[in-house]
This record gives sequence, C-alpha cells and structure tokens, in this order.
Amino acid sequence: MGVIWAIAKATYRESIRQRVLFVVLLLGLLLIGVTVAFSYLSTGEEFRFVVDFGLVGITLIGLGLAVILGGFMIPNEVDRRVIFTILSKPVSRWQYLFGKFVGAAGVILMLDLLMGIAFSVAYCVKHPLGFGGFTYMVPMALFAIYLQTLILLAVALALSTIATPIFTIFATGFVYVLGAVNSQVTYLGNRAESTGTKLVFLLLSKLIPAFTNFDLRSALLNNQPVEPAAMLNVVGYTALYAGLVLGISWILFHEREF
Amino acid sequence: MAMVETPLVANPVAGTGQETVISCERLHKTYTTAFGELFRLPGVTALSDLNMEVFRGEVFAMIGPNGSGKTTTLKLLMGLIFPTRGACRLFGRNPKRDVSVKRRIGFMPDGPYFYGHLNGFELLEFYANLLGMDAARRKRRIPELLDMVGMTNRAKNRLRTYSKGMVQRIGLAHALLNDPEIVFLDEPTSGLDPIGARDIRDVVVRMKAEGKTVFLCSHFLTEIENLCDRVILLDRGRTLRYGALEELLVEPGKMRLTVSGASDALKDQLGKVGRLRRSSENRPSTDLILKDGPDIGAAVKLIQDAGAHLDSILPMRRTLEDVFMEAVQRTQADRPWDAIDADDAEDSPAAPAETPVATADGSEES
Ligand SMILES: Nc1ncnc2c1ncn2[C@@H]1O[C@H](COP(=O)(O)OP(=O)(O)O)[C@@H](O)[C@H]1O
Ligand SMILES: [Mg+2]
Repeated sequence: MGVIWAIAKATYRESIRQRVLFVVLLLGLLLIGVTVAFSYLSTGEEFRFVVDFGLVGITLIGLGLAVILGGFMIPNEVDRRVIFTILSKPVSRWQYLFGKFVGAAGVILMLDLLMGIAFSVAYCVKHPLGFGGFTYMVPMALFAIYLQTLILLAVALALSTIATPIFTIFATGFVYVLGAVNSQVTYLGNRAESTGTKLVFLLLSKLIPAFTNFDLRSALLNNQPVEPAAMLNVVGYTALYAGLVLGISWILFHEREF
Repeated sequence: MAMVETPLVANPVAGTGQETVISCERLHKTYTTAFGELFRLPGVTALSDLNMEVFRGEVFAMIGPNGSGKTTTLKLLMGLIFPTRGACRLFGRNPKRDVSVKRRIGFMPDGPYFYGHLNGFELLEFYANLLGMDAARRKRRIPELLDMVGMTNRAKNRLRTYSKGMVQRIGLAHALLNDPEIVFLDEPTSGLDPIGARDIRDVVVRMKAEGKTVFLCSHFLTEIENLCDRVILLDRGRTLRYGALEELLVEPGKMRLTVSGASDALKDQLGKVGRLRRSSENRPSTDLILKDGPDIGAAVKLIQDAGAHLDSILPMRRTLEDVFMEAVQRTQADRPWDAIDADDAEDSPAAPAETPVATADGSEES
C-alpha cells in the first residue's frame, strides 16, 4: 500500500504542475461562466441551458483530462527512463500501474471539484429558487461524471501501456462516444432480426462501457430524486469496469520490456 | 589459433565455498519489435550465452565497447527486460517473478533521469518510500547520503536545476538508500568531474570494505583496473574474457626482468635471450621479457657476470587496456560474428586450445 501511495503522490504532484491541465481547467471554468452570461433566454430555458451545457462541458473536460493523463503518463516515464529507477526497486508492475491510476484520479478529482463548485454557483444563480434550489442531486450528478471519467482514465491508461499516445487519444474518444450511445446499441441489438447481428450488437454493448446511467441531467432538471440503489449501481459498475480494464492492462504491462 | 582467443579464464574462486549472489546461465537476449516478431525478422542479438557468476564481497567489472551488451545485462538482472533464452538470478531468485529481491540491491542506470519537479531531498524520500523504509530510517539515512555525495547544500533545489553531474550524484545516493548488499553501477563516472569520479571510487572501496558486492559497468579501464577483483569482457554480446583480474593481466608463461645499469654490451647479449624494452618513460632501467624457464637462469647469470643490477623478476603483466584492445581488435571491424566464426573455422579446424580454458561451470577442458 505504501508503494502505491508513494507513486500516486508523486504522480499527483507532477501532473498538477502541468500547464496543459491549467489550460483545460480554465477552459472548463470559462465554459461554465459563459453559460451564466447568456441571459436573453427565458428564465426556465436559461436554467436548462446552464445544466445541460455545464454538465456536458465537465464531462468533455473530464474526457480530455483522462486522455492527457492516461495517455501520456506512462509513455513519458518510459521515454525519459524514469521507469528504470522505479521498477528496479521492489515495486511490482501492478503497483506501478495502480499508483499511476490513483494519482491521476486524484488530479481529476481536484479539477472536477473546482469545476463542480463553479457549476454549483452557476446552478444556483439561474435556478428559479436561487440558492434555495440547490439539492443533493447536484453533487450526485457531478459525482457520476467523475466516475465516468475514471472509467475513461482506466481505458486510456490501459491503451497507453501498449499504444502510442495519439492512438490512445483517438481510441479513448471512440470508447467515450460508443459508451454514450450504448443504450442505442443495445436497442439495435434487441431489434435486430438475424441472430448473428443481434449477438454482435449485444456483445458490443457489453464490451463498451454503459454511460447512459451516468447522465443525471434529466433527473436534475425534472427534479427526480435518484434512488440510492441506482447510485450504488453506478459506483459498483465503475469499480467493476475500471477494475477489469486495469486488470487486462496489467497482463499486457507485465510482459512489457523497457 | 582461434581457440586461444576464446573466453573464460579459469575461475579462481569457484568451489571455494563463496556465496554466489548474481548468476547468469546461458543468458541470451535478442531484441525484436512486435512488427519484427510478426514477420519473423531476426532482431538484434545484444547478448549471447552469457555465463557468469558474481560472488559476495567482490568488485566485479563488466567491460566492453559501446553496444557490447552491458546495459542489456543489467536490465535483465533488474527485470526490466526478459531473457530470450537462459536465466539470470539475484540471490538465486528470478528478478521477474520475485520483485522483493530488489529490496537488497541498488541500481544506478547509465545517465539516470529523475522527476525534475522534486528537490533532492524529496526525490530520495520518494525512493525510500518505494523501498519501504520507515520514517525513522529515512530521516537518518537521507541526510547521511546527501552528505556523502556532497549534495547537502543543493538538497532543497529542484532536480531540474541540477547539472548532469549533480543528477549523477543524486543517482548514486538513490542507489545506496537501502544500504544494499549489491550495488549495480552503469557507467558511474560518465558526466562526473574528476572529484566526482574519485567519490565514486571511494564509494566502491568503502562498499567492498563493508563486505558488499559491487557490479560495475564501465569503459574507463584505468579506473577499473585498480578497483576490481574480477572482470568480464564483452564484445557485441559475446564473452571474450572472464576471470580474475590478476590472471587476465598476467601474460601466461612470460616473465619480466628489470635491470639497471646495463651496458650496451650486456643489452646486446640479453637481446638474444629475450625481448628488450625501456622500463618506462622516466626510469633508467631496462626490461627484459622472456619465456619462463631455463632462459631466466641464463639471463640472470649474464646480468650478474656483467655487474649490472637485477631490480626484479616478475610475471609479465599487461594493462587492462592492453587486454581489452587485444581481445576486441580482432572483432572490431564491424564484421558480423558469423563471418568471424567462419574465418576461425577455416583457420584452424577444431584446433585444441593451448591454454586450459574453463567452461562456465568451472570444470576445465583442454
Ligand atoms: N531496446 C532495444 N531495441 C533494440 N536494440 C537494442 C535495444 N537496446 C539495446 N539494443 C542494442 O543492443 C546492443 C547492446 O546494447 P547495450 O546493452 O546498451 O550496450 P552497452 O551498454 O554495452 O553499450 C546494441 O547493439 C544496441 O543497439
Ligand atoms: Mg550501456
């Protein structure tokens, strides 16, 4: 545990200093700021706009963070040969990989918190009830986005152990898009007539992450509370999916030569 | 006489009950890429059938020209890459399977690179954590090492502000954090000023005095010559020489008589018995190099009769550089090993070796 923590801490400290992350954070904050600035819409529409635009913005920024951190962390350490000095210590490859994941997850948490605070303020400013309109659903929606970002981080990190950063960026983006339309893929599978097509679609829908449940925008807008069981489901799904992806990447990384 | 050139001088310590801490058995490494594997391209053979043992408490040097496979050997021992064939062991364990053996070693890579955003102290703390050192031990050990490598007053500066030599010094400190039983140093003096190079020497000497094992990879031969107990000489992955330094440096069957006050007439006479040369640049004496045996008696008699002074009779020694150059020369011209092997086969079909050579397991064959 100490080893994973040490690697995570060093990863966090190194990443948080990167200028590109600062730029991404500014972009996110700017996006949220801009949604507040629109004021020619009707009150209800303005609120809807803030929620839609803000949460989608935070999701996309999360995707960006996941590919930047997940895609470059390990290749950078391989290129600069820092990894020689780390893996020649009593550090297993699994500890290294997981430590990197935890460190990057910490960085994303930090930036998501900052964007989340900005979003919450924007939410209250545009909510008809003002600050009285704030519910626990706001942090829930943000938390679900964070979990989704962790899945993307795991995917990017896994790809980065065998692929170049550019490939990782595109492939992770592709996984994100497929994940967002997963319910449609399932739908197509169920509707398909031939068994073969059905199988392919259903298999694909199981392989790619299902992000539909992670999107709490409509629940937030329609003021529908989210059942604790549903939230737990999302947490469990994240642990399972990210765990499996990291497990597969460990198998690949285990045999990797430096 | 190809076989004389073949490696493996008899290992003087084998069978004397010394503890083997590093061993390589027919260790072979061919680098391939995924692409190359797919199309069955031959790849780069960086190490062929390396057989070697290192014993506890010795300073062992691996020497060889650039690209001879020294770093490859170290990476195999560290579990950073894996053998194509054969095996390597640290304390009898496979470094790939058992990462815990790395708790007992230290490794300084060639031209080490570290996190630039940490300062010297934080960097050592990071590695101490990886080594599982507790807080009390860290607090004691880190300042001690910073002092030893002369980096105490730069400890609060970020690594990105360090010069190459300073990074090298921190690298040395990081390799010694856990007070390792074996320390591996890959080209430790590259990038260091003469003071730094002497500090490295001091570390090696001190570790040996403490009964630790030092594994040095270097091409600074004069430096190694005064430090190491045993040597392995590689060239493009093959072992050309392996054995105790003393045995490598002694020219078998040759003696050197040093004479002072020899007249020209005596020199003429001696020149018929052996080969004459000046002892060294600034000494007035003359060296006579001749075969061990009755010639020596004859030479001594000539010297005594002429009234000259016999300073010493010693086995003929070469420098490590001589050994290196001689061994490598034959294979230098960038010719593939296959061609050299083919030549050798033509020159002397199955010629028996002149001197006894040892196989890897220490048994002798002639
Ligand atoms: N990752 C690699 N891929 C392909 N070839 C390599 C790789 N690393 C080293 N080599 C080759 O292996 C040979 C031995 O290299 P190395 O062990 O670094 O030599 P040394 O440390 O003795 O200078 C060289 O020909 C080098 O080009
Ligand atoms: Mg090297």
